Amino acid sequence: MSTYISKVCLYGGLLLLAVLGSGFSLHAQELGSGGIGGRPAYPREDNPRSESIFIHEIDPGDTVSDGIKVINNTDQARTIQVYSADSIVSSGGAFGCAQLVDEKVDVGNWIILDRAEVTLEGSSSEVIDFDINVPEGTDVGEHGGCVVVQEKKPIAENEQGIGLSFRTAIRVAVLVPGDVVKNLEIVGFDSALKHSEIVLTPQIENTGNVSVDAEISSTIDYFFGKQYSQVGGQYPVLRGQTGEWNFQHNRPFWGGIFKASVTATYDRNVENFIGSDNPDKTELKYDSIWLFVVPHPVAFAVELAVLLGVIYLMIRLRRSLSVKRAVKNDWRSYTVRSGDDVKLLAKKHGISWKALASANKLKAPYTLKAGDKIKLPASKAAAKGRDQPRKIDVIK
Amino acid sequence: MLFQGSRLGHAQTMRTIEFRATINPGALLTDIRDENGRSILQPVLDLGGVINSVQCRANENSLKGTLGSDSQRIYVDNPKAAFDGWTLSISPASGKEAKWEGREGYYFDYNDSGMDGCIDDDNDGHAGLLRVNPSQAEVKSDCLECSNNEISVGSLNEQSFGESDSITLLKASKSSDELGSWYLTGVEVNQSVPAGQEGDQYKLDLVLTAAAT
Repeated sequence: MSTYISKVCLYGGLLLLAVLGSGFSLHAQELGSGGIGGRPAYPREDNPRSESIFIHEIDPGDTVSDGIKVINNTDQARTIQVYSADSIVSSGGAFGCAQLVDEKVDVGNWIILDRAEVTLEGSSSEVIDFDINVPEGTDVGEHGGCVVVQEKKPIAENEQGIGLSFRTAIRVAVLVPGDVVKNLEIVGFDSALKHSEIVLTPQIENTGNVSVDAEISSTIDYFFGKQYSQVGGQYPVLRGQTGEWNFQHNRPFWGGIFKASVTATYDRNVENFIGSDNPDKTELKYDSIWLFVVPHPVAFAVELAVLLGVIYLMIRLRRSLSVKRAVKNDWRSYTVRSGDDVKLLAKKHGISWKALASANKLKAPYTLKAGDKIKLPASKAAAKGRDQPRKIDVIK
Repeated sequence: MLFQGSRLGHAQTMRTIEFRATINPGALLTDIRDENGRSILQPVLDLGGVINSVQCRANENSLKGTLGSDSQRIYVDNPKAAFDGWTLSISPASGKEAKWEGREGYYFDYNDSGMDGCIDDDNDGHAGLLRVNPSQAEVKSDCLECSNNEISVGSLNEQSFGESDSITLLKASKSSDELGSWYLTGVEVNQSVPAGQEGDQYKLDLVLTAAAT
């Protein structure tokens, strides 16, 4: 008994009821509307991309000034943190930003903001200027960072699970001039089915020292070459990274054999940095892949019905041709005499009256008049020959 | 006659009414909203509870939840702020040193990739792995004249914080709508719990980042 109790205690101790939560739902503490974010305060006319991100070419040892317009589009005053961070690579080779607490070693460390915090009334904005100081000895190529805008608010207490907060980041791309290398390679291309879609996933590696905006296009063609669908877009491929995209195409309803392919075009001119618009592009291709797409069940049923119908019509056509050939080659002309009728003549020549009527295109009521010219098998043997119309439907 | 005299006796004045309006510039933003479009300002995704065990709770036995549902949607708004594309990613607010923190001071980890998060392979004294799977997620547009044609879900496969500090949920190309609103639902998350983890109520803070690229 004591052994039993000790075992219960042991397992009871090991199997502590660690209630880590209950339910799968998100809890709403407060409801509001609008949002907090930022955008470049001084976009340059010569580079339209500077309306969205910060782009600068800076020599080592030099400093460039810029600014971010911090925006509070909620209906209440909000205190907003603004900070710089190094860029990081998010999964799939996408652009991401390090956290406030992370050590800054690159562009995040080069940016000095005039203020780290601002309190804005509802529906208002304010510019915070900053300098970007590129240290001496910085290596050539693009360096990435972020200017991040995030509401300053206490993290929800007495909660369990995953607490979520939100922030908006603006990419900072700093080019340190020198021996710039631009080079992309398509290194992979896969396909997969997801829901009712075909997902094409190209992988593109950037082996240069600057990011490259690539126009990526995934295409599905019919077996005979006509395009079925095309999905893609222009995305940055970050320096030294391999980017991956999932382009979703509608699954062909009727199924079939298709060819999937991917291309990427980019500006290989090293004189052009982000935002330059050079129409002279280099195109990359990758080996196409063949796809056999199973049709939708409804489409499959329709296709099966059509196939059976075609087979039926072909059999009928073949029989019809066989009859015509037999009539033409083996039957002779016969002048109807008084007292002849279709059934009698058919019986006399060993064929069905329907076959006789069909071969002579007789119509109901299939009466024959003396003097009519019809065709009849030359003999019973001919009637039983290979091409004899064994069974012919009456054409009504 | 009296009427006419009365009218003539009043001074005629003209006033100009000036209409003024300020439209604050928009900014790329992300948040979580209910089905009526109202922001949930401090959302918490509860992953449910498990019973502590001598066995590590991984894979089908892990803590599970779904980020984004019809009533709690992950939104991205682009009111002509990011003209050349953007990304939406999720990462721990405390960086690589982040931990699941219990009220009573216990911890477990979110970024140990070895053995499904059952061992402490980053040698920080705690095991555990958080995985995010956007492969079955759906993105929908929520505006009259925008589409989700140029927006792709981050990954077809499950991603783990053992392999990346940031997990991409969405990517929008340069050709995506400059004026648009989209929401994401159905992002599966699961967290392995190390063997013998102390009973407590734990929390991990993640941040959703919408970045103009």
